[in-house]
Amino acid sequence: MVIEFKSKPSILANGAVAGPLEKKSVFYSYFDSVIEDERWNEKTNEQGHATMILEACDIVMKKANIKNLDVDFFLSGDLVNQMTPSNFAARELAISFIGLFSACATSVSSVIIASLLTELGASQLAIAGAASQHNAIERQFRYPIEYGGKKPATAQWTVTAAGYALVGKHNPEYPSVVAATVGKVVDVGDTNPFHMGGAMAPAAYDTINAHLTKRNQKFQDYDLIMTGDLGKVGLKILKAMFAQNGVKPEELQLLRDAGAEFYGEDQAFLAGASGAGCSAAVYFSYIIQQLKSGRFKRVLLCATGALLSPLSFQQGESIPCTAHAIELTME
Amino acid sequence: MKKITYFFFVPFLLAGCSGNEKTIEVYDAFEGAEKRVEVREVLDRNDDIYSGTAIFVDNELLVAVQAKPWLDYKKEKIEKELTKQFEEQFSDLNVLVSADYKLYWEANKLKNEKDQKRVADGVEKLKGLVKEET
Amino acid sequence: MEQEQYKNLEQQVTPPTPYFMNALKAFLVGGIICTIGHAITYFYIIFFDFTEKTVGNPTVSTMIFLSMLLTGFGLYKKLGQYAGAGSAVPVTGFGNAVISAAIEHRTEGVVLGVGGNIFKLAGSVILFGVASAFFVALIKLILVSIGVVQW
Repeated sequence: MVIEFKSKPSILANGAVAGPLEKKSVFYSYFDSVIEDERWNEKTNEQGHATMILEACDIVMKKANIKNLDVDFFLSGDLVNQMTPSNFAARELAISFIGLFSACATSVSSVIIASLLTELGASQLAIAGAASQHNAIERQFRYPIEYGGKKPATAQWTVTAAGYALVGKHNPEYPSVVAATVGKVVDVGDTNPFHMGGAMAPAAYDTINAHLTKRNQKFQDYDLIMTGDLGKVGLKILKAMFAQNGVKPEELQLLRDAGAEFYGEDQAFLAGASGAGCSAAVYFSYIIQQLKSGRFKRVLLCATGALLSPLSFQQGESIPCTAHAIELTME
Repeated sequence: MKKITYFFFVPFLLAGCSGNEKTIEVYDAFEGAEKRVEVREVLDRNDDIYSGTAIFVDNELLVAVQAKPWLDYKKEKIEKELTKQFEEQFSDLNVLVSADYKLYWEANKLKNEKDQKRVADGVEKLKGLVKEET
Repeated sequence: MEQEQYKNLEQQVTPPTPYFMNALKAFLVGGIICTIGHAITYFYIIFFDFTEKTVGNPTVSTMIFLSMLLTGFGLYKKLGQYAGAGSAVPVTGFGNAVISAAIEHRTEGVVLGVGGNIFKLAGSVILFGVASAFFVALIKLILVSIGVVQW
């Protein structure tokens, strides 16, 4: 479902925070803060996760020179059960809170809702974004951290990062949200949780196609189309899908993936990065900076999410996926 | 990288197949030189072991053998066979045959021991160890 | 795109699993772990009063202790990523499964957290190990009663 924003809400500030391992990221220089302790000096990983979200939101508000009271809505989500880190961060922020779950696509779905609230006039300023913490999520979805299981080459590494954006009324000096596509749930019957890229690529394909078709656009109308965390293998699959559909190689060059690029060529991270914080941290640091500097004029950010749970996997279900997209322009 | 791994892999596989192990018969007795010859013959005849040590002390006979590589599964059978043979030969002695490495190791230490009392103690301790279950 | 068409495309693009190299790595690492175990066995036989029959207990204890150290220092998971089954199958792998679960669930307290979750991964091993031992013993009992085998 494609939405066109007549009032073009703008992203007035952005904040990205990451953990110690993310120092190895190629986007390291764009992050606002990188901390030494992945638990943010808290007792549990989940508490550290909540503190990380708080820190990212504090950075956003500081950059915009505002306080908690000035913000109308806080929209956030993460991958932990019942999104408790977001809930506990919201408690500290004391801002009206809407929690959302789109798995790793939450970074974009939260901005879509924030933009709708802004367009409606219900919100002057809203903070939207997502986060993930490696230890908390590995424990949630896979095995204990120290377990010596072997991950295949298609597996991805969940990042410890948070990315948040301040969405407000249109301001020509800042990047603006002109359109968005809310994705459908696409399930191709993949059951391998170590090959999320393969499960999510069809959802990204579906959403990007829907957006381009409704907006009457082609790949060349954009400076960049960046998916969230398909990873190296998933990105290849997506490109192959578009190539089969007649998209030329020089157009495919415009298609990039935050997860595939996140850790560069480091083999230790297998097929790349993933997690709600992956797309959020890259979008709300690197992308916004490139838009502000004028290097990009129009981008399509398509975050992908795998909507499974450890229980659904154990019960033999396949992995349904979704992708949400926002189109940002800079005048 | 793959080629080097292959290269080292082959000798690994062949390492278990070394034939030509000479049967080292070492044994010591405290009395009765004729007994030596008989025991040596019996151990020599048995094709499943590559080494054996026998100790005669008081009225005890302790024989520790080592089964040839790949024949470990026959250990109990070898022990039973040799026990039968030795009990026939030396009906007046308490015979214990063992293919256990511990016994072999200790027996080899004891055979060089000069003090008969120590040897007798050692043999008694070893016989006790064999009875242990855990 | 049709589901089957997509599956074909996915298979073409996805890098194939290097089964032979994985098996080789598992073989080598598993073998090395067992060799270390055997060295520990000989250590106990030579320096202590254990026979081949009784040395199993201290050897396993020592191997699990080593596995605990490696797991605690975060090294066992690196070994596991390289060796796969080679480090998961030996008793050190079993130790790693139990110990990693214990470390993970410390935050929920000792009784409900550690106690309730420590066998999360290893539970199946224990359950099916005990169950199959029971059935094998039952079969042997039947065979002995018929007179086909001896104890």
